[in-house]
Amino acid sequence: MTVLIHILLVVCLKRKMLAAREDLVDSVSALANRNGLTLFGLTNEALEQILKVNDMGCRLSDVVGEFEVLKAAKESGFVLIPEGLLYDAMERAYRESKDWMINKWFEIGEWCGKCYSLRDFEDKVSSLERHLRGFLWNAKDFHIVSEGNGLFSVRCVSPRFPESYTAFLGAFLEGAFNSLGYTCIEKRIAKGFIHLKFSQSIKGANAKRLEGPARAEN
Amino acid sequence: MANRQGKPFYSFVSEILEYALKVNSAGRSFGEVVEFYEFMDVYRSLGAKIVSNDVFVYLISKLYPKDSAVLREKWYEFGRLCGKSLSGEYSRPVEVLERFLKAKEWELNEVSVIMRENKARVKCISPILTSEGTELLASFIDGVMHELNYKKSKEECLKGIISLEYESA
Repeated sequence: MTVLIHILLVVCLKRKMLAAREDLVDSVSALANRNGLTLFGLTNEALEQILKVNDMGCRLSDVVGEFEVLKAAKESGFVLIPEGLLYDAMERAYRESKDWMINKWFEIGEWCGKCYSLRDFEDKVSSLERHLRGFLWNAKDFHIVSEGNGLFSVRCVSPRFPESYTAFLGAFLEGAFNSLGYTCIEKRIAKGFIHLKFSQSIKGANAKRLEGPARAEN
Repeated sequence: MANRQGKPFYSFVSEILEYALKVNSAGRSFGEVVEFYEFMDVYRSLGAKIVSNDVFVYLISKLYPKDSAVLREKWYEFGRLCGKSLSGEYSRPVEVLERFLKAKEWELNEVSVIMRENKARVKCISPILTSEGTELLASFIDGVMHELNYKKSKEECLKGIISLEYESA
């Protein structure tokens, strides 16, 4: 069943009718009341923003999706910093305290993964991918592919990533999957390139980090 | 627009209302979310990265004793790039600066940019900002304001508190 929203165009004072689902209109109307707005004002605001989003060359779903991802980033203790500064600092930390940093990134990944494992996402790995794609907004290529039988492969490529950041990000991803109950069974990490393969851990067994240095790739 | 996206107008309107409700349940309005996206687009296009605060604090604590001037300079330069971008995108960039800073420094409790005649006062407060983080943020704001044609006239920075005053150059 539909109801009609009366849109009074302020400038030319003409009415336009928009059809929408009744339950949505009722909820939006209640929302407008709660915020001391009119349904007319709220609908117009939404339409204005839709046009603005369209002018930016994107869709509303992208905007709301990114907002949710960045909200999650904020709530998970992430910050925004200039890329150049991050890479310089990472390179130095990589030379001076590589193991400490790798462990730290692994721990943070584990923590993030734990957050996903505790949330009511229908598909935790897909949700993790969606959020990580938002976090890794400079990565040219980031994919998590299900290969069936509880196997997942993770690929992240960016020519701009220095060796240090690539290694740390690899540890982060390993930690995140570990918390979701997956063990790393294959790891290839080289400057700007990460390929990891995970297998579902046997219940009751604690997932461990894949020992040994990453196999260097040309 | 609905035609271009290949959707019936009815579904398109319903989708918009669904998103309006979703955004509202997160305590925001549509306008705020779209503006946040615009700001993030500026940061993204200028090469900002999202990184764990823990790692960031560790890196800064390691580097700051030796290279504080270099770090401040890098933040200042990043601020200038952001300032350039803001002046290109907005007709009155100083008016959006407060929200721009809030979008980036999401751990800040309070941000205010007050304009009076040819003067601007920027104030930021966060109990969790480190001393190093405070100084770097002040450099970033300095860079932005420089690009918006403001010259610093007064500065007060304490751990977690930034109070800067500028005059139009």
